[in-house]
Amino acid sequence: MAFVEINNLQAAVGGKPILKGIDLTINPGEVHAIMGPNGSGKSTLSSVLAGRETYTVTGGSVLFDGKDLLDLSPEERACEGLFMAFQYPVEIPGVTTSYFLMAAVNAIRKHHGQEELDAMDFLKMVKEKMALLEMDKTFLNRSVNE
Amino acid sequence: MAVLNPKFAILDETDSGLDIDALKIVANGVNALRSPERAILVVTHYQRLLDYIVPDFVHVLCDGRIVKSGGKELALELEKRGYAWLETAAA
Repeated sequence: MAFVEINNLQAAVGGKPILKGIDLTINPGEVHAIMGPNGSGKSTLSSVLAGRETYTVTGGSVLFDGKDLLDLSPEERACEGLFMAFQYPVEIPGVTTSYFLMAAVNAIRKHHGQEELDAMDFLKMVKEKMALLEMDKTFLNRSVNE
Repeated sequence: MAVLNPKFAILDETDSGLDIDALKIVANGVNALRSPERAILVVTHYQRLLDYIVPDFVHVLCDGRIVKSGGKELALELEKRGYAWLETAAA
């Protein structure tokens, strides 16, 4: 069974059909690129997979690691291992990136029945990841997407 | 993405508004996170990002349908020919 299996996915926004039957199979380890002109439905596809409520799924199915993705809330999708990087991320003044990420990590750990990380363990982990990505540590204390 | 360790990552036009240096930094980060256990879907308008994040498959979306799929060379063809030849084919 494929890892991500999109079958005849159709979606509309405000009654207007945007996705008209998408079929796509993605296996672990693969990188797929979606290209297309403005208004072709690229961002709608991302949003529907992430579970954004502005879009109504009007047909088709999406299986993710054996689960019916469309049946899950956005939070449940994230806990099951779906991640989305936004085109226009929202700024959250007053909430540091560090605090935001720790809350996200612990929500996922809790979902899997794992112990939550305390601030010390989290910082150690996040600093290792930042070194991997060659990111400046000052990002942690900035507000989210500021 | 590095911290959350997702199984399926969707990058929705993450390249929009980035200059060439920022694009390379983002692409290097994504490449560092490629893994046999992870699926990645890169949504992009331009071929440029795919010079740095080289995809296994490229799909062209036109009017809500995938009208063409291919390997990384399809992105190069689109850069040369644009989308119009596929839009006509889809209509």
